[in-house]
Amino acid sequence: MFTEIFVVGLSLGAIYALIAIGYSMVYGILKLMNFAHGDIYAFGSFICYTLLTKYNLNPILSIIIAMIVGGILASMVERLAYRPLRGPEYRNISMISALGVAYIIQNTSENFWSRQVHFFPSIISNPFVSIFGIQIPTTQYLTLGIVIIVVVTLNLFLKYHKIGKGILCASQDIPASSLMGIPINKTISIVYLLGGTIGVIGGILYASSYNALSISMGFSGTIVAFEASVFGGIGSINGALVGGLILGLLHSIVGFYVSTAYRDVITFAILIIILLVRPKGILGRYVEEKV
Amino acid sequence: MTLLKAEEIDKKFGGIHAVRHLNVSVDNGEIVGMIGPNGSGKTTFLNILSGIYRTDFGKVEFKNEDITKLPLHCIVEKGIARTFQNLRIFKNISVLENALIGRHHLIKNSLLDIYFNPYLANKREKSAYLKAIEILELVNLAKEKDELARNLPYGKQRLLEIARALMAEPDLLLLDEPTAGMNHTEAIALCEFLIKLKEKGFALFVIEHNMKAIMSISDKIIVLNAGTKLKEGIPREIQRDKQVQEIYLGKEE
Amino acid sequence: MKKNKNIIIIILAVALSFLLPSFVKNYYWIGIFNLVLIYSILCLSLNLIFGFTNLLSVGHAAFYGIGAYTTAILLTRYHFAFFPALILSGVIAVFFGLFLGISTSRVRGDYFTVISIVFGEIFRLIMQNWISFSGGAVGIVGIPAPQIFSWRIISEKDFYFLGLILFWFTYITLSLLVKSKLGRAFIAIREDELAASTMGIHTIMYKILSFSIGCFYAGLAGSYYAVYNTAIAPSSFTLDESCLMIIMVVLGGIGNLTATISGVVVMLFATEVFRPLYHYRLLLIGLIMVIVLVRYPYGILGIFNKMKSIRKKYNYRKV
Repeated sequence: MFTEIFVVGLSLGAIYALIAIGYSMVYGILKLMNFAHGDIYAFGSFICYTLLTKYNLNPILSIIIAMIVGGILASMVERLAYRPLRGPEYRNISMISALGVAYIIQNTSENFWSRQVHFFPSIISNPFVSIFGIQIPTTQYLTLGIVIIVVVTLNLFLKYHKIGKGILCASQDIPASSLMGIPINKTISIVYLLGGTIGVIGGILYASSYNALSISMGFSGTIVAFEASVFGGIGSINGALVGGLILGLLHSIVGFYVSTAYRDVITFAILIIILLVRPKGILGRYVEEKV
Repeated sequence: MTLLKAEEIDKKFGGIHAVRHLNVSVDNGEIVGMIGPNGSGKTTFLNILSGIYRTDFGKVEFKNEDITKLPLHCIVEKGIARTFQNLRIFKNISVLENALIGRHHLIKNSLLDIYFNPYLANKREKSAYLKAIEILELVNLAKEKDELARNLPYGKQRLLEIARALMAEPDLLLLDEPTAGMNHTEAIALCEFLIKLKEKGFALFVIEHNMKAIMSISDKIIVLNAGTKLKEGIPREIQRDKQVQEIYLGKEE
Repeated sequence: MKKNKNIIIIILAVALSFLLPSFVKNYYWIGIFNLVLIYSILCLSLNLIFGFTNLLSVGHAAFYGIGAYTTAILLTRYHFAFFPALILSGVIAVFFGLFLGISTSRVRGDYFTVISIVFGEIFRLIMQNWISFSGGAVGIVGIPAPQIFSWRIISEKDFYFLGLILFWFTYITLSLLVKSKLGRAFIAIREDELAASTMGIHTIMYKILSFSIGCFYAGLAGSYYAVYNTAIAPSSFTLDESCLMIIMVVLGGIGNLTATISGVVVMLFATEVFRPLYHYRLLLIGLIMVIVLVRYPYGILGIFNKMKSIRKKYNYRKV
């Protein structure tokens, strides 16, 4: 039994990781808690849902369209609501602006799709596969596979591509990278684009493996992204991966052995304890502030 | 009498050895200047003295009391106040309020005093206010006391930061490049002011790039290079020193 | 001189506010005034936390809720008198505020913000699921009308006076606080934490202090809301409420108590005007938030100050 819970937890964690990556990257570069992150990926997932169920579009095509929509929406939000408020004196103000954006997107999708839980079709046929004597649906494996692909590609992109290197530089020091000729606005837009796109993948995977989709997924997604980022150390992709996996395992174990209703309460308690002991997260490194 | 004694101060940031086994002492009523090229660890050393950084090794003694491990906010109570190289005044409040914040630990009002003993609380506030006016007059800022700090010209902001530190009634004042960004006249005025402070009995520890200024006010100068003490002596000795000239002007071929 | 003028203005304002029901007889309007009072108390205390100390707490509704539930449970189950219940509501809110403040005292400001959100959600979740304690999603109904000595508070007008007393209590105590050494310490933390601590301010302690003082008033407001509404449910203490409070504070002006009230008034009247558009309520709140922040980050106070400085310039020119 435990092995099943473990595998389910891992694949849930993989989805969490996808959601957390975009969130964590944005934080890494702008030090901004992007409260709209969850609602953006929920919106993208709803687009995919509409294309699939209403227009009977090819799944691959609808996923791609949804990803594009999510990415564009994310960078649009950055352009309109965050860019005018960039800079340390607006640190808190831009967070409130992010909350405002979250409301706008949430309420818009609410008026399109209503608050109820929708049935989301499985994208691939979902037979159980037995590996080492454990019955696990294929989606779970697919999820893990996709996450590995995404994380590896992203790491390569950041390490070797020009834009990726620009992102890494900008997350160290925006004014300095700007002086070195890195187009800051473009770089930040790309980070949002990537974050939104990857988040939508996570959202669709979540919806299709649980066959359910609802607006409330957006908000809980933001919280999950935060928790995963903190567990793993905010600002790094690999941290988001590790944190997402830890959180997924935690959720599935607590959900099975204790109670689903209090799952979030327990996660919160653990989060508080971790932050008490290590204010920068489990894997977060302590850097002495330069004065 | 020795006021401050820093022994064997050592600080590393990752692989960078910012300060190496530094010994510095400041006597009562003395101005000690510290010079050195950029990145020689002057500000780091000052940050250790004022409790912002923890030293990796060695100890800081102030009035014969070990203050190495004291938390940041307790340092000022012992009698050390400081200013910052890159100006850290409270920009969005008035000049007067800036000065009053400097007196934080000397105003003894508690939360209960404010509500249940308003007479006493007001009396203490009033005396703090009078002190603030006195000190603002000393730095010629009394006229601008209701102005927002951010609206002051740069030179006056620097003076305000010094005034804020003076409000804490310290025995030792740590100044990190007080003349930075000032024009010649302002710098001279500041030097005169610092000497006036010395005559009033304050001890000063000053980091400075303006050679003329620091040479004219200091009783003792310490030259720092790559985290180690290169020379220590009275200004005239330092000015003549070959090594010091080399690190500042480069070697003559 | 200036101080005396301020005292006179406050006395006049207090007198005027108590006379208001003699001019406005319409209960609909008095009801709205009562809402203004509740939100003013909440936003004044939030301004202490956010505007003065720069702790962006998006969980203020939870402390409001803690106060409301405390009063509701004490009045319905333990038959407390209102006054002790009111005080206890504040104290218990402080207790939770201390818990949250101490446990997050060492984390970064933005972590604190998210944790405050999560805290608010957790509060709502527990209230929704712990049915035997809190009545679940239905909440607690039939909260009896409060009585202070021989004053039974039943009518809308009575509640207005009760709210007014709480409001002026909040306003005056907070004004005294922010003018004191402690208030200056809070502002110093907002402006520059490091410089504040080199000036001898124990920043962690003062942050916790500011946060828990703010929670006290939120508890009082909650207690008032419980007896005013006679029924409470978790749906009144959601994240949306916290966000509404934040936007009221920002709209009024960060770090200014009197301006906060203008933010509350404008925002509440706006929601009344937009009532027919109920489905788009959150959309509108969100839009107002973003537009206000992007265009006028210093709120109504900022616009006011700008006008004042323009006028000053104009006067200079005339002379």
